[in-house]
Amino acid sequence: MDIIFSLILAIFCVYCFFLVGAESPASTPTELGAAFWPRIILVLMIILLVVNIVNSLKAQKENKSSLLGEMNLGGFFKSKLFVGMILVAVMALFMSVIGFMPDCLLFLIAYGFLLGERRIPLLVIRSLAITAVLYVIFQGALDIMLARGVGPFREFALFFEMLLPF
Amino acid sequence: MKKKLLALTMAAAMAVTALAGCGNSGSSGGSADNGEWKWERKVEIICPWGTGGGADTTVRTFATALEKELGVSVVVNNKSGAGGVTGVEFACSQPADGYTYLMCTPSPMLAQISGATDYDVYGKINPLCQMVHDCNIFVTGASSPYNNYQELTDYIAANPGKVKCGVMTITGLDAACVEAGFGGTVEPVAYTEGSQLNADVIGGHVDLACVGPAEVSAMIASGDMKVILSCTEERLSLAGMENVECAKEVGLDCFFGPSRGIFYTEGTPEAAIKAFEAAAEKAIASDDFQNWAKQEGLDQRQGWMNMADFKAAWDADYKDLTELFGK
Amino acid sequence: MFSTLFTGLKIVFTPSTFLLITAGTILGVIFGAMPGVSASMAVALALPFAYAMNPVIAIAFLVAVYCASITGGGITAILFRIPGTPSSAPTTFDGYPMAQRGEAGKALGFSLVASAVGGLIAAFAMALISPQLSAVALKFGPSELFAVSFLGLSVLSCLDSGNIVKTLISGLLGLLLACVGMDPMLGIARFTWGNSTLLSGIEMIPVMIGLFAVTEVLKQTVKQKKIDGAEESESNGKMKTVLPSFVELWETKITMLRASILGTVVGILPGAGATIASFLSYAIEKKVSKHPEKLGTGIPDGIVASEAANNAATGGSMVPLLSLGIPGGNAAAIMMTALVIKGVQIGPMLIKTQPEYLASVFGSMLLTNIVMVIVAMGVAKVFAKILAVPYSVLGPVIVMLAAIGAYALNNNTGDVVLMAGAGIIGYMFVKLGYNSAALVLGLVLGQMCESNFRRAYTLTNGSLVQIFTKPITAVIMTACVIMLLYPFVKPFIAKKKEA
Repeated sequence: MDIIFSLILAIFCVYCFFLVGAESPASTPTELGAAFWPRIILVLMIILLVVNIVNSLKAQKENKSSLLGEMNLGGFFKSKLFVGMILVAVMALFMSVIGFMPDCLLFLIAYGFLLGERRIPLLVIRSLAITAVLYVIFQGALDIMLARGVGPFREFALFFEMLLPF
Repeated sequence: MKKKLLALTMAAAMAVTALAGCGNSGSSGGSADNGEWKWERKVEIICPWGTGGGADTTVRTFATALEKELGVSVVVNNKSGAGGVTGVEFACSQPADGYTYLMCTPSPMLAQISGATDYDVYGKINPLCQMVHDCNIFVTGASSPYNNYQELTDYIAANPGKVKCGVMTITGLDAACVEAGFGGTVEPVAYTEGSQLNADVIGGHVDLACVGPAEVSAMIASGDMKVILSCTEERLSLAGMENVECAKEVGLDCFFGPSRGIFYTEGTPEAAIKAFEAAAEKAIASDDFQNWAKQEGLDQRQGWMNMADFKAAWDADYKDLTELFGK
Repeated sequence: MFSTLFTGLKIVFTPSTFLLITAGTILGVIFGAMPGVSASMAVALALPFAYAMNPVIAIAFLVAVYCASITGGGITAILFRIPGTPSSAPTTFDGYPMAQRGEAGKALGFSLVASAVGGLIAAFAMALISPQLSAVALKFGPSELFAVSFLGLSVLSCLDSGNIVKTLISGLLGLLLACVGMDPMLGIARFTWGNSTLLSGIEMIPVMIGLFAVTEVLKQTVKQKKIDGAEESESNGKMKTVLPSFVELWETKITMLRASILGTVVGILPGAGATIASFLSYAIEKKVSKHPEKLGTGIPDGIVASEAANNAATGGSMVPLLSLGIPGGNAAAIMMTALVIKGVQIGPMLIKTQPEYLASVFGSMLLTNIVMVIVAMGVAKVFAKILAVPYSVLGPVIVMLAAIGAYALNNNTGDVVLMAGAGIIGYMFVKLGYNSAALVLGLVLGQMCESNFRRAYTLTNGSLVQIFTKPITAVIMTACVIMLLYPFVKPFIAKKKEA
């Protein structure tokens, strides 16, 4: 697994090395140019990644383990961990679309369920309360303009903003 | 138990109000009865720079004064990033319902002209009015061998390639002043922190800096910094700068300075723009705003500009800056 | 000199001022503990109150909020692994493991006492030798600042002795991420692929919060299977606030002193600040500690190194503001504008003509740093109660708080996506044996390192010799080289000794 990761990263570094050269103009006698610093980093990284791959290969020969190690890919996709990751990603991606409040509420319910809470009514009520508290503290008291979402969600958020006494 | 009860009631209340909210939200659009605009909910001004900077304090002072004119609250929403482009983009993504405005300066437009961003800043936002027009000055450390513009040019001629000028953005108005004022004889050097630039000037690590007068007034008063030239049409009347030559006197054409104004996006109702402009004029003229501008040294140039004048100035800036930086 | 101390104490012990400073401290600790409310935002939020005050009191009040908010950041860092302010990120390295072992009270105690000591040392330095300190600060130009940031990076080679190669790769990856966005000198877009969110660069706060807080929640999600829910909450709720004894505190005296002095100095440097101070301090602690392998597993020294340094840096950042008129950071800049509105221009002239301002700042710092310990303990107790709730509630809430924290930085949902990405990729990254602390270190120091090097290069007309022969630069760089090579040379030295 580590070998695959290192390999992908190394290939990506090589790509970046050429990309950054194409993006920025050549350096002048008094200015190093935008590509100079990233290129130093990239070269060092590629060298170290190759060292890492060699190290891992050596270790693997000694242990005679497979390329993927003990990681079970099929099991991973069914695991709680994977679902958790998906939930976090979906929460982040949808925040700008559906706005903070619905997003927060749905995430709290879904993740709470994932963590083993099976009493649905309790879970929903608790999530509603937490969403309300977070909203009042951050949007109200701290004056942070939380994401509103688009379309009907925006109207919904605007309505709540008018309710706040602050 | 008590807590749970409270939470329950709150949740129930929220659900009810939410339903009610969805019901009537459709009808509460803009109400433009006989051409008059009526402000119904809070107005939002997007500031593409972070809390505490010059842009932010200007728009917050303006918002406080504007609130009194509009009768509804005016909130400032800071959306910083990418030299202001992020905020401009966000403002353009919002519905043009007459309740969302943008505070902007020529910097994001410059990012477009210099090719740093592909976003069409100039095409997407429209000038509504100008609030203040700041200027730039050239300063140097107390120990540098030149005291005025003439001595500086002599020094540059005697030491070609030696003099560098610190600026905050290499594609910004300050760098435009360096370019227009000195041509290729002084190389601009970008700084990411204003504090570091000022310290480097006093410490003698960089020869010149192009900055706003308010940021350095304390250092000028204490004698740690000397002013070489102001990039203005007339001499400044600020303390310690009365005797400094201005660009026009020495025959330079480098009058760029941050002009901070309010912009609207395409599709904003005509009536709302008119109402906003009228209220903004009163807000800018208010004692509170004017006193603040005086204290910040922002009274050196005419601040208020109505839509027509500001549009003309904005277009002229676009033309000049494209000539200087365009590719 | 002593008149400053005396006037300062006289100002802050007026009953009304005393109350205001206490209120400011409470406000600051709470704001600081909220993820997403940075120290400068806390000061900005306190501005409306300050406008109503007399300027001498106003500055005392704002200073109280500022100092206290940096301390407040440590509370959530220890309890939830969410650094409330970015300068508390290194506090999570040792603070969170301690809290996990049920020693949250102890960890908080060390954090608060260290904060207070750091703040007090910096306050005295500011009041007594401010002009001398600022003269030193002015000697630090771009090349010297490059050397300072490089010093921070040189610790990478010994951050994790178990796997040097992977730690170095992690650090370099952090440096590479710091390159994304507009390049600091020419404004050219790098690694953005035309994306406007990437154009503003990879912000360190979302990455930090994602790597530390979200990764932790994901980890707990997996653990949940094995550990019964009830058992989990019991071990977590055990926060009986067992305070560290005086003897235990005394044992960290050297670390505390070292971190305080380092923090003060770094705070004074324009272009550095509390975050860089705490990271540098932690890094140096790792270098000079007698048992470096224990740092990161949950020992008080790590907490002390981080918290003493970031609070000392707040005191340090007041030095250039008062003696030169240069605000050392965003929070100081906001204080300056607040006073301008009141018709007062902070700077050396003000200190000469109206010394009560310096006295007021000093008095407020003294008082705040003492009152803070009590206030923060109270706030921490309230926050610790949250730990007792079952993880099925706490876990999702931590993720939401992290999301708000990332969002509030620029009010940008792009940063929330960045945070989620950092959390998810970070989980696998750590699983594969890479080091997230090294990555964050690279990200924090990357831009400072690059921009100052290039700035120095331009200012010397491209002469590397001129850059590295400046006395301060040369000394620091030599130290860097020794530090970098030490872990590689150490085995050889040991062998020789044996032979």
